[in-house]
Amino acid sequence: MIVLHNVQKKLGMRPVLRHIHMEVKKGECLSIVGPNGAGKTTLLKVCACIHQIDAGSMYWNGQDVYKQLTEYKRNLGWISHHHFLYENFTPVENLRFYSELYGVKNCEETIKRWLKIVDLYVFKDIPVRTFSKGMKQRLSLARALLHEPSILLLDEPFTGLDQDGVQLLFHLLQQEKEKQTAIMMVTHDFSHIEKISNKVIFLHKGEIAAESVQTEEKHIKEMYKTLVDER
Amino acid sequence: MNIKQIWMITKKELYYEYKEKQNVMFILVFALLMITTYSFSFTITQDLLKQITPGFIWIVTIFTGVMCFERSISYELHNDCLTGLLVAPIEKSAIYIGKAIANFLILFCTNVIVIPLLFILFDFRYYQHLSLFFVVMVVGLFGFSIVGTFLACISNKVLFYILLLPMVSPLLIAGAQSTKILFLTENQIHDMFSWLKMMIAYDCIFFTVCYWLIDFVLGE
Ligand SMILES: Nc1ncnc2c1ncn2[C@@H]1O[C@H](COP(=O)(O)OP(=O)(O)OP(=O)(O)O)[C@@H](O)[C@H]1O
Ligand SMILES: [Mg+2]
Repeated sequence: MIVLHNVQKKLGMRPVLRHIHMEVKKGECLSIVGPNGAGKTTLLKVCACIHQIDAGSMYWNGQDVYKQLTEYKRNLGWISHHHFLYENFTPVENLRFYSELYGVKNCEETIKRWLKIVDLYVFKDIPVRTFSKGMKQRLSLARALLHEPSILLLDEPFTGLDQDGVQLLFHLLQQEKEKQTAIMMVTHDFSHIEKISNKVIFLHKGEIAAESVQTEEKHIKEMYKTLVDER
Repeated sequence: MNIKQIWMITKKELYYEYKEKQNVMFILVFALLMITTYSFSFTITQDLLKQITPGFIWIVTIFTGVMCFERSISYELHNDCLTGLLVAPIEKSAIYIGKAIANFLILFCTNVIVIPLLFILFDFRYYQHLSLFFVVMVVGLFGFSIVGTFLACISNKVLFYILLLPMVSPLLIAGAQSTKILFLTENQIHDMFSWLKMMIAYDCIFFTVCYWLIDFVLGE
């Protein structure tokens, strides 16, 4: 479980996040929505400890994140529209590097299993630079999940995926939820939210403008519109 | 300092270079072009060779070094792989040292190819103090890689080029001086040792400073 308490973050001189209070329980999926530049990616980066927070605190399983940083990071999975893959490496080489980083046991077996899950096993020895965007995104799913994270941070994860890819991601996320993974997802496509999320927060100019446990597309659209119009 | 993490990064860097071969090709072609230009611009005698070779060696090293350092970070930015590394459970200093060691090895290997090639093509006969020359090169390349890789980690590219000059010039001056003494004035070997000591001190100081500062530089 992750808890953020009064988190603040400045980038350069600008405050990008202000007074962020939130909580994601195990097996729960929290969606974050907001206009461009609202600070959604920054919020995820703060949760991933890429950015140090300027004030406030962050807890994981009841303890300060920064006191157990390595263990926390080992449990972190990150999927974004950037896929973090080395173009000159083959899928196997990419996944091998990442599994070494995360100390995955039974590395070769795991890689093989994941390549089959994301349906790229036949392309396993071809450099990633020859892949289409969607194929890279699929591989990036394998990259993010192969060390069995217990916290998943998703930044517009559906970008570039075809219908099958979207279904695959939903299926994987559902499985992760059953495995009690805490999920935070940033997305601009509200139709994806109701299928998977338990809770939505609206981020606006670095602040949480509203929270809702109702995740139906229509409801979110209405709320989003009133919030953006209001401010 | 986590040796296992450092080795993972170094291994990946070297494997990337092995697949891409960009640095090795660049330096070979660059060195050959320079040798050709030099041999047509001067009437080269053994005396003249002794004068120009130290500078030549260090110029080739600077060019390849700068390219190598720049590339070792810029290819990480391509698909935001750097974020992938920063999210992973490894220390920022391990990423930095891993890359610095890889850059050192790449520079070292390219020099191992280019310097003998240079000696052969110029018909430059030099046999004394080869081991000392080797030590000077290793110490010089190590310091150069430490500082160059550190500067490349700064996200502001203009700053990289601005800081490179003042930060590496003491090392390069000392390197060129020691090489010159080795090639030209063999009887002043003790002078060479003061330059060498200075280079070793430079390496130690900058390694410590960069190691401490990297947490504030990488990814910020
Ligand atoms: N490295 C940086 N330095 C300074 N400001 C930054 C930096 N990165 C982001 N910002 C600023 O922080 C704000 C939030 O950026 P962020 O990327 O979190 O937005 P976002 O909500 O993810 O937007 P989008 O929907 O476009 O992805 C923006 O106004 C941006 O200009
Ligand atoms: Mg974003």
